[in-house]
Amino acid sequence: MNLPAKKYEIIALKSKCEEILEEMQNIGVAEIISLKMDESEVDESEFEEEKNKAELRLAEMRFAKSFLKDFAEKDGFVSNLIDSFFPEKKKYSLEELQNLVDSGRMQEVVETCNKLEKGLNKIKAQRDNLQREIQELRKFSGISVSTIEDFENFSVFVGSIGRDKKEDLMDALREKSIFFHIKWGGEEESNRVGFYLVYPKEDDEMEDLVKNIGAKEETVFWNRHPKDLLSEKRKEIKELERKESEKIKEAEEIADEIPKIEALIDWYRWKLDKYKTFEDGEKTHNYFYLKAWIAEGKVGKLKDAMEEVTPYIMINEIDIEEDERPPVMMQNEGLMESFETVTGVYGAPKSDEPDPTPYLAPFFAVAFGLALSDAGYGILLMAISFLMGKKLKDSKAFFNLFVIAGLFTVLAGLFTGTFFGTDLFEGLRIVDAVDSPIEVLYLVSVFGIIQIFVGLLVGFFWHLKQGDKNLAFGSKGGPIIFFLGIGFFALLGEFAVLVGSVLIMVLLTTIFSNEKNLLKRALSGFGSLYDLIGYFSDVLSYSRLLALGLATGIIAMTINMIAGIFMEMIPVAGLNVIVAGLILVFGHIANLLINALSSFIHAARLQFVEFFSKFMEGGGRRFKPFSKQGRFIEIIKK
Amino acid sequence: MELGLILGILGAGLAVTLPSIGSAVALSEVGRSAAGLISEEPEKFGKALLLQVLPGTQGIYGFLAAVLVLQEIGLFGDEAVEVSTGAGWQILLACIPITFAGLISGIFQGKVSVSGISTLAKKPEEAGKAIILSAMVETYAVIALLLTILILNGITV
Repeated sequence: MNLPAKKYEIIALKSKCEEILEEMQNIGVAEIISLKMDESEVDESEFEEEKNKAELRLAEMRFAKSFLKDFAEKDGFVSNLIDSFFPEKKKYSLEELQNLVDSGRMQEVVETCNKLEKGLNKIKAQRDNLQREIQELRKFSGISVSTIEDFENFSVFVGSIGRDKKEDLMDALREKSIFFHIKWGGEEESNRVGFYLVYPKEDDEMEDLVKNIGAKEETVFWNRHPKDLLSEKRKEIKELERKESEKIKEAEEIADEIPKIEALIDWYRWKLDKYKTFEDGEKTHNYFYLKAWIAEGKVGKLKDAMEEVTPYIMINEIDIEEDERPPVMMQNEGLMESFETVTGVYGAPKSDEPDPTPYLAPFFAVAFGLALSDAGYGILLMAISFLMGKKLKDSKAFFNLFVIAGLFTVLAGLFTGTFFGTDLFEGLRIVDAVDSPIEVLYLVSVFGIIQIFVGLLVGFFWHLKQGDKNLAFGSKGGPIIFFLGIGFFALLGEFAVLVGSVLIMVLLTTIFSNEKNLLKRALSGFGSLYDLIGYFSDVLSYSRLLALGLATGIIAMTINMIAGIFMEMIPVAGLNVIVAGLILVFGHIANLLINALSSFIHAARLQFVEFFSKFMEGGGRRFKPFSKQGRFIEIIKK
Repeated sequence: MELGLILGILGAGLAVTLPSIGSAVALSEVGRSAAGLISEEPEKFGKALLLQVLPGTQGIYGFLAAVLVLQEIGLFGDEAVEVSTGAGWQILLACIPITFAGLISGIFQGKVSVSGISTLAKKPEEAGKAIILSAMVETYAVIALLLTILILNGITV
């Protein structure tokens, strides 16, 4: 149901406002209306310092989290997948959280993270440098000189060349002159090799010749034997790696603190929220003024709590202005909370529209059941959803929806007599969907007619309650009479009843029209005939339930058949049972997953498109209370 | 081989092949854009996968129609049946709705799913709506499948 939202003003002494805001956030029943004209208009806040501090802490916690994430133990693929759909929040009481903040432990973690990050970056830079030097030195390993100088009559060329070009270079040199000396270096696995070449000074084409073959001139940056240097640098790298793994180990150890860091991320976000809310209000020298949306009936709780904080506070109800759109507060408990998941996919109704959840609940369950319609799959779905709901408590309402949907699937499966695609419960079968699909088509159409009729009734009574007679009797009452006409026509077979109902519908729409002009009124009356086409296509849309039900059943049958074929084909006793068993297990689970998804989507669609349009438009803004709603944690009462 | 049987097999073959092509094209398009999203936000894999598999149903519907045809012409499970030429033509025509509606609705549903991936990227909490939008396109594959089933049901070989 939708709780009516009321608008309140809150006036308090400014000196007490931090405590007041804190308590309001703890209770979390009010949505603050910003009184700021525009975002830029923020006067110097009294809490500027605290705000900056909270911002800094938040940034630190976020840094620590993103740093430690790389070192945290990785969960398995499946548990990650489940977590992305159904995240579980850690439970904290306010005291525990406060103690965690006061202990300063997380501040230490942030500092350690800072140090570790700096250390790791430094090690990485050093290692990169060393590796570059090693790369260079490897080419010259084996050359026994450490410094190379020019001589009076000879030139020296130090360079490197690809190993495959080594012989070409030698050939070219030999062809050119006999007066040269070359010394090769390079480790066996390095693909470039270094060399130094000594040749007579007057041979000034030597350098060009060498370069033309592909050699690159190198600068001598080492002053000792490259081989010694190499082994030294490699030792250094080993040492760096040892230091790095030490640091990584340290990071891995504190990575366990991520959940606590996340708790503090929420904590500091709430703090910032509080200071922002303070900016949303009006302030005088001594007083503090706020406007807020609060659900009817919940303001008492807030008042009581406020009076404990300070006696100098006033909370008064004020009028809602005409162009104002109050937020929508849907509140459903128990089973209905599960069905709110379906409404949630569509969005919220407008604030003056009914919450569709209780109305869609039975229809959604039946539609889901008909779309999946296999007793075996229903039992499996119920079992899986029940267990998941036990394990993932935060998503319990969601899984309960599928326990109920599974129950209706069992019923629909018994109705059509399918159990994992077999005829095991043939005795209980009422209609065979495969042999006589037309009967099921009639059945789902009747189901559609009933749901659309109920939708119109909901719309009728809602408009009546809102005092809008024209909408109630004209746009809803007319079609209601028409649907009644269809019902009586089906029962009595009298065609006149149907015609009569159409006439009454046209008449009602004409009388209860918002148009003043008589001609336009009559036009809107006859226009209602056009709507009948819409109702016809709405009803046809329910035929998808037949198609989806058949799809599940026939594919389940096919899986059984394929398993049967393998059972016969494989001559090895035992092996054939295993293969057939695997086909059955994986085939049916895949079929259940795909078809449960389809059934959910199509059953939901029937609510959104065919049902909702009869009594609501949607597009309301959901109530967002100023509260301690965490992304990672949930506050519990001790 | 009897012409009737040949036509029946042709119908079954088309009903599997064309919708499967439609689904494969759609899945690859959605998969490509999803891969881009995953590279930035791997935690959205589950929902992206959901959007990707949506246009995969057309291929399954085609397969479903084909299984029904194979049963009808006695190539699957039951004993072989004599399929008259007339019945063969009827079966082939019965396969037309799901064959073409499956092919084309699959491809276009894929396009909606691709846009859904950007919804998932920008507003992950609204991914449910993107899924429904994509499923809207599937309606016509469902209707086509229904017609194919109803016609096949009415044919006596």
